[in-house]
Amino acid sequence: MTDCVSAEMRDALPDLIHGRLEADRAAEVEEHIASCAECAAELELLRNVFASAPSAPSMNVGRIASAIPAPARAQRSWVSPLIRIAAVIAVVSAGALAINVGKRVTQPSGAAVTMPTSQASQPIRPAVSSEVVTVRPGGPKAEQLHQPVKSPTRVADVGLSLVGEVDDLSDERLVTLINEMDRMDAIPSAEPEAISPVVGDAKDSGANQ
Amino acid sequence: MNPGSRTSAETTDRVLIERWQAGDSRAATELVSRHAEALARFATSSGEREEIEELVQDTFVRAFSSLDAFRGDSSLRTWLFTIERRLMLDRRRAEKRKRSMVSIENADAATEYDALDGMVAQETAIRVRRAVDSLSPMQRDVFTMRVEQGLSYKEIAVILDSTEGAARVHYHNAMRAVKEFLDD
Repeated sequence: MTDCVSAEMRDALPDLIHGRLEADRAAEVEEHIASCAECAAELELLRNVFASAPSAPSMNVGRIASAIPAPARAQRSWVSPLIRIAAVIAVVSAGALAINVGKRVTQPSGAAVTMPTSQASQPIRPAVSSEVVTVRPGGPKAEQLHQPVKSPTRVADVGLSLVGEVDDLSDERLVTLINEMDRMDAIPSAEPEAISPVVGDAKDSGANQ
Repeated sequence: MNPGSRTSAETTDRVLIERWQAGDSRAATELVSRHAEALARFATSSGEREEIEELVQDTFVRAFSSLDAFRGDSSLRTWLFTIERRLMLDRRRAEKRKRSMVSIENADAATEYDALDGMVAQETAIRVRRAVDSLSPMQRDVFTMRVEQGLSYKEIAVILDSTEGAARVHYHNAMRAVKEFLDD
């Protein structure tokens, strides 16, 4: 069996069998076959190969489809709301933490440190951090709860502050801060707190009399 | 399938894929329905005889699990053929000595020719089948993809991870070998 010299026409023969040619191209190929014994023989061979192809078993579409996993987006559809809720809780918690940190106000040593709120008469208790100075104005023997102020820190008024002062703290101070905050109420009590007696006052009073 | 129908089919596949990704499981069933038989024929043409449905199922599972990797450069069917062919190669490597190639004398194969007219036609079909079976694995794959599945050289190149030129060479070498076998 010899081959047609036109490779282009030979390449088109399988496409002709499967109807993959445009109408005008198919007509061109069929016209060539009509005048080319080699292509006619090859086309016949190809049709025999096509006809003798072993048949495949029928497929159970339902069984095959049932094995296909759900798409990743659909699998996440019930998870994403939980993630969003968890994220909201985390943000709110972080915000509450930042508000408490942002309420630190420091002044030069010797002055009562007060919060810029309606509780202005209240000394800050407990100390938010070692940076906060709690000092009672009084005599030389006045008990002083004094933590050395490493650096005068001007703190912004109440507001969210997730960066800045907190980021500047060392790990040790951060742990201290968190421990202090755990003992704090989220919202300061409106009731005045009892005044703690100062140890040095009674002795002085008694000596002067 | 004429060129216009091919484009329409590809659009339908794309729409079904998007629907499945949005969570519509019926779209997956529709895609299986559209391509399962072709995959089964492709496997059979490639010489597979056992557990065809399992092979087709594995192909779909792999395809849907990595659908994000389907760029759409080729048709979905071509991509499915690519996956299936890799699975068949894995099978051949794993069961090289156990895989049974059903010969044309087999009773199951004989029933395929019940519709053919005359003993001559049947004998011709038997000889043609033997000629195709005598080809090298690569030549047989290319030849059957081109002739029995009607795939283009471009599609064959994608499936084989090769080039159109290489696919064309394999096809014509296979055709020459088949003609020589039949001329003997």
